[in-house]
Amino acid sequence: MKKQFLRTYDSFNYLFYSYYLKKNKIDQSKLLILGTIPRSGTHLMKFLFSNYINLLNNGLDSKAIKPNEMNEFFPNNYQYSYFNLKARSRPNKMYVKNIKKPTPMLRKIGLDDLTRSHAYFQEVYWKNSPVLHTYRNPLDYSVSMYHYMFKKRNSNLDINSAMDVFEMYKEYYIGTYLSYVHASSQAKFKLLRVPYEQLMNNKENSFAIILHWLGLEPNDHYVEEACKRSSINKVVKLENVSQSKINPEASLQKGSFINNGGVGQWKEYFSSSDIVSVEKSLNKKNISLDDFDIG
Amino acid sequence: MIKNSLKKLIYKLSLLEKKTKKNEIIILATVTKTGTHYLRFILSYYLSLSANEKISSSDLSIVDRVFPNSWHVHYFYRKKLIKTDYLNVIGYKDMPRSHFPYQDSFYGSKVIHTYRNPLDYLTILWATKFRYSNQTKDMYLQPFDLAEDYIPDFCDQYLSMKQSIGKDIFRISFESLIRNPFHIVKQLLIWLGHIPNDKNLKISINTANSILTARVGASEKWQRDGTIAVDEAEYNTFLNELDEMKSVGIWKKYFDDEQVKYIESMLNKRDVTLNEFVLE
Repeated sequence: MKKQFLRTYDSFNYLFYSYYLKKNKIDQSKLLILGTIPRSGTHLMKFLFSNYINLLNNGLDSKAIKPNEMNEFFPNNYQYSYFNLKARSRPNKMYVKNIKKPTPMLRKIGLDDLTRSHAYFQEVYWKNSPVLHTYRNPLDYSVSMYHYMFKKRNSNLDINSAMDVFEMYKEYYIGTYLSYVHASSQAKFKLLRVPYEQLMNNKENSFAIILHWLGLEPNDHYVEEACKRSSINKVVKLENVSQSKINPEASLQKGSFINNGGVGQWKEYFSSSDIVSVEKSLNKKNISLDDFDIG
Repeated sequence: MIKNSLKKLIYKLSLLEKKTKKNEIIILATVTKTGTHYLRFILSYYLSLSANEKISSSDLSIVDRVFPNSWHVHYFYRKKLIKTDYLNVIGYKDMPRSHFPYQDSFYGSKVIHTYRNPLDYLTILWATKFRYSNQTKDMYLQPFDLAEDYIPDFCDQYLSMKQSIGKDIFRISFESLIRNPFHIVKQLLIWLGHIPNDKNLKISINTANSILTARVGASEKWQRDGTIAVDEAEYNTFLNELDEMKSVGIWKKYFDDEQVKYIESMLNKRDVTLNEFVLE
């Protein structure tokens, strides 16, 4: 009932949303939404895009993009800059009106902005925008979240393992994952789902596929160079040298925003009985660990 | 407007008749000679392996068994569908092909679009569609002569897929596909909602790669029917040269600078540039 009400409300509200974007000089078809599950390559994608457009504009003599530059390139988080999906019952808070100017270099790839969101797929609001979705196998996701949300912060929560993290976030993870699977199966959206593992195994090809999907013809040399400049080693080095943070909004107490990024880290964190339990939770929603690349 | 509404109605009726939903079919909407058959061979072998069938590179008719239907003939003009069950394993009913620009009726179906640089496209079209038979071999004396007849449609289709607001299209150039088939087809299967079997995909690609006409993006139905080109030596030399060039850049042997400039101006008039494409 609530879902149906929201859908009706959204359909009506879409007119205002369209007007709001237009007023802010954002063409929906040129607003790339990086709709990702956390810890599945969101910032890697931002580095790839920022390095690629920098190369397109300034050539190979330009330098690799530093974390602070990357954040200046793409300053808008969908929830905090554009549209607060959680505030739909409070219209005055819904339209955040905090859209900052992204780099004008984005025009080179025909975009007005690139904004990120960790929300469920939005069938109404995102129907005329390209949506790039990255996701990661739930085991490595939990390991990465364990480090990011708990080990690197002084958390008061009673979270002692990656399995605890899976239990805590499983509803969100499965719900988000399925919302994109469902949207994709309708074939009514410009939506590309890219597994994090596929992205990490072959950045160059994955990024070239993404550019093709956006309607662009990739410059192979720049794709290759952008991938080199966005590698974990390079980015961590730049983070240290520039003393700028990859995600300044994250209140980390220690360490880098980036973990090691590897596929299959879960093997050191999950026991056999944990795996059975994870599989059981996924199966309840008709998904399985076999649906993912778990390394 | 009325024409469009009629078209949509005809298509809706056709789908109703076939008890098929739009999102149960994939439309392979490609520019001809741009890897349509290469992709069809890879997917045919992959689907056959998924159905536990044996595959062989000498089995060229596999593509016509696995993907027997054309979108215009079987869906739009409502000719009786040829039944195929192979796609069930990846959750679809059929993958009809089309060489037309994006149609409004495609909305609600996943669309795969391949394209190629227009100079190679004209060259390969000339060599495989016209030079092979006595009836057509002298229709166009050189690839350049096809430009007036074929470049407008090429641009229409290319642009209709490139400018794709709210449309679910997986577009990929032949030049990228032939260089990285594993990674691209794997991502394509994920986009279709399927969890790929890497081993079967590798076997399928290796098998498709062993078919010369497929891997150079120059397949025609007459080749699978057993027809022999009227000048076999010329035809074989052409295919082998294309193969030696790794399927990209054969146009250099057929176009002079003036002709390239002319093609470029034709493209520019339609908001397309040669620089957009991989030419070698």
